[in-house]
Amino acid sequence: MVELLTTETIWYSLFWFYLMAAVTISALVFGFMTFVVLRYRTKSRNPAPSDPIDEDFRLGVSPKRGGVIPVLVIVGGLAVLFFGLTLSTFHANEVMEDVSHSGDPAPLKIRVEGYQWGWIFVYPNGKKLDGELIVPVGKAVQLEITSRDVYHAFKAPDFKIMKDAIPGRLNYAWFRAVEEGEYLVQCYELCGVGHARMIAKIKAVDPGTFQNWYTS
Amino acid sequence: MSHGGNEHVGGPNPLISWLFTTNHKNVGVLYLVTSLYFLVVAGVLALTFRLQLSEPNNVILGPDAYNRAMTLHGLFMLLWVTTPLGAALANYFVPIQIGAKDMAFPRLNALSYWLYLSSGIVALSSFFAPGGTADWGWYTYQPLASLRYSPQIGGSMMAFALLLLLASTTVGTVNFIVTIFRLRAPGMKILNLPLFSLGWLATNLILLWAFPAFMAPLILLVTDRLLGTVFYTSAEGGPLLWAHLFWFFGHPEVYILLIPGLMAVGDIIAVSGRRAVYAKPAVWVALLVASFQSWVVWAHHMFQSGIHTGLREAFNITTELISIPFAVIVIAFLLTLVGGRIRITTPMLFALGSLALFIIGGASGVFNSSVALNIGLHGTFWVVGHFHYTIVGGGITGLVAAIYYFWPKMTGRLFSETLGKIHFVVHMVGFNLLYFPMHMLFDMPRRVYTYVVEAWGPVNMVITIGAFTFAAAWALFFAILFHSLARGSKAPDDPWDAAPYSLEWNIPSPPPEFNFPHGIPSLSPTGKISWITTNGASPSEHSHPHLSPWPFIVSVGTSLIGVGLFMSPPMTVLGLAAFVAAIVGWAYDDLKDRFKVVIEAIGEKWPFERDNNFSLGMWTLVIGEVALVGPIFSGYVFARANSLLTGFRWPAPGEVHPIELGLLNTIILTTSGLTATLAYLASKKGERGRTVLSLTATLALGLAFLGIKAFEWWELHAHGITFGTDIASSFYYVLTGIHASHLLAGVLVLPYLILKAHKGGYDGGKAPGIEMFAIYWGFVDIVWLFIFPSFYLL
Repeated sequence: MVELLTTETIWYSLFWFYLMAAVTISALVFGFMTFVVLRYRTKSRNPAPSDPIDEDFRLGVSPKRGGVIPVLVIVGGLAVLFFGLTLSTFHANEVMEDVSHSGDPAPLKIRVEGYQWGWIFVYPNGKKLDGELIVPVGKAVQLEITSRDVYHAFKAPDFKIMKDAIPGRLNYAWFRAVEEGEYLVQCYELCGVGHARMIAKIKAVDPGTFQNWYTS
Repeated sequence: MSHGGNEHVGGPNPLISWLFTTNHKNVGVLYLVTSLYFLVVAGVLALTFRLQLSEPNNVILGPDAYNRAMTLHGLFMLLWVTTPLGAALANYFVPIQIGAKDMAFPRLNALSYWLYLSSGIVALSSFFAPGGTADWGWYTYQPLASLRYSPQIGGSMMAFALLLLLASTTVGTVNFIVTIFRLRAPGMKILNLPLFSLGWLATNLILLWAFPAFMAPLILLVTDRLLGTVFYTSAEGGPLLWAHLFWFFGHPEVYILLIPGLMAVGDIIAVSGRRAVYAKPAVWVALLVASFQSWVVWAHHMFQSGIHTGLREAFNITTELISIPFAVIVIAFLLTLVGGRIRITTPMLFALGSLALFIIGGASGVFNSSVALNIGLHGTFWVVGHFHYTIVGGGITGLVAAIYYFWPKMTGRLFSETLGKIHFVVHMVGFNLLYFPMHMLFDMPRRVYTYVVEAWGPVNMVITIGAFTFAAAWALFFAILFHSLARGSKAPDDPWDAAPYSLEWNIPSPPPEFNFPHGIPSLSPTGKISWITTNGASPSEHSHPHLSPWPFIVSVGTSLIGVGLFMSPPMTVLGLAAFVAAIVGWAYDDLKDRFKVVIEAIGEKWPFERDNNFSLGMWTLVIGEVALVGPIFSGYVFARANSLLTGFRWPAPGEVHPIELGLLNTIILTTSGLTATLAYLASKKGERGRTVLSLTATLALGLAFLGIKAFEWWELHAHGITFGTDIASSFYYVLTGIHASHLLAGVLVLPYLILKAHKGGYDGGKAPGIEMFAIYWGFVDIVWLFIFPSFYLL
């Protein structure tokens, strides 16, 4: 069986790629920093006045210090790195943005309405749930997200999907649950005193159970 | 506090001399003490909510208290602590480092400080207003911050306090830009400046745009809350109007917070390694490039708001690119040390520590810039960790290094190196324990007063322990400083062997009132410092023309107006009286030429050799004004574009606003622009009669314009079109209102100019007052030329 595409796997593989790059580069810079400080450290408090270093140490710009080459190396190196990171980001973003990449020709379309303080989920047949979204395992689910009052942000961290819920606007996201279970939904934009309690859950059930519930 | 300037300020009463001082060093000390006080306040607030978050389902703070504490913590740390802390050191050291005796406009400098303090007082008192203060988070998202969802008076007070703070900073920015460009010592080219001054210049170039640009959405918020306009509650404006305008300021703000500390770190590294800064021109170019880039990254704060994919991808790229100039700066600092002779002192430890923390913050920032990763990270503790690494790590820790570095110069006292090193260890351990684990909470939402997911508990506990350790580091820091003041041994003039590197280490610790007892500093082309001795260019140190009560009284008046407006009307009246009295007193001092500014005749003024301080100041202010009015016009365009989508019918030309009246006013105002220019030309030739005549004509035309405007407003009101009728009327009233109040300010200054010209004050052919007025009036005219077509013709 082909493994079904999920938004969270795309996100995590991109995250590890970035993390690898960040750790490598930080390690290089920290290594260089440590080396320089240890190598050129001194305890003598009185430098010899004739020391050639001191000629350079003065107000203004030293003609002896600083070439263009290191600057170009940094700029060029980072540009190349960012080019790589950005390409993979754009690719991941395209998939995560658009439900047509889910491989599911008929995704389940749900309207999500945030309010102070909770989430309402409306199904295509008019079924309406407050605080709970029931979905069938394996099916791509497309969310159409909006708000009834203030600015909220819909996020299901397990699926790595998020979109702001803004009054008067519609935003879209999609995900797919591959295992049965309950997943957290929470508001991620401060929306008043109930913000921390603006929680709902996504309940992924097997398709048969879903169908029974949906048509009942 | 034993302080250099203080001894010489004179005056019988030391309290009066602090209240009325205009000396840049005293103002610097006032800024330092105040911003550190606010830091303690905002820090204690953070401890309360860290305690609350240490375990899931905790009940120490309820959601109300948490939201207020968190909002105040953010607003204060960003706006009332970090920027002013940089301003404190800049006030003290930038004039010295550039070789000036004081700022270009010492009284405005004092005014900046007192307005800053007033704004802080208004903001803090909002905490005690009925219903509490702002509780919507520092970025004040709409419509949560609208009257409907957050009706508390304290919220409006906070918005007012922010406006005051922005005014204070803008005054300071104009002052610093003129000072740095026009008051440098002979031979002191821009690139010769130490990095701290160079960085402060770059910071001010950003401030000049960013802070007025923040005023724009705030004014709209205040009118929404007080006058009932519908900018953020209508579908045409709405939440995204605020978000765009806010982040347009909000991201440059990050660099405002970062650069002063980062550049101080550069100086400390150079001094500790006894090496010239590596590739200094590249560092300067990198700063300028980053300043420009900071204007095109704002939408990365809005990646989840549903803005167009292509736009998001563009902002993804611009955001990544802005890390490149900072990488150049960091590497240049490290290369500076190669081949040096590094002495590890307390400031150097903090400098290196700051750089290390900033590198981590920079790396985590690249994650956030990715449109795809942002989906998972936005609005979580990962982001909280990231920006604390950059701002507290790069910015504040760098400023701690700078305080240690400059301390012996400011106080004349050394501090304990041993204690300083212990402080460094506690600071770094506390910092990393506090902020690093936040990255592991990349699923936990920020700004929640509590959480139900048990798994987040242990990490939060570690963070809270880190918070208290970090707080202990600050307590230790203050103890070290007090210990140094009380017991510290006397500091030499040059404790860091930095005399060849920067001017401040060539003068006594603490410096005398006018900084340079050996003469006017000058710089040879090879960077050697020498002293030009002239016959007493500085005024006698026993006369004190440099004290002025007016900045202080203006600010007292403003705070009374501010607090009174929301709590007690009589207080407002009292404040208004104080304000008017102070302005009149200030103008009277000028008329009598009572206040002397200490400025050397010679110096480096590139590229503004042909200007004078006043005209350059006014041009700078006008740029700030453009940054204020521009975003409101962008908002107008945004709302009109949106009205095509929402189906709102924007009034047709002539339907609401009579074209004839608009046209008449346009003619009146352009004519007044002409008469203002004529006044300037006449004053330059020293023709008293024609100057007076032209100014009077300008005054009459200005009054005529305002009269017609008032009539138009009256008529609109009579027809039931008010502030809140629709988005079109909101924009009309606010834009014409801002314009008219600018015009009114000019009209109020005119009688003074006419009086001074009439008395022969401008006979010598030098009339900076009239020149400034003409520049200002021209700007106000041009704004009208945008307003007229926008509302009458289109």
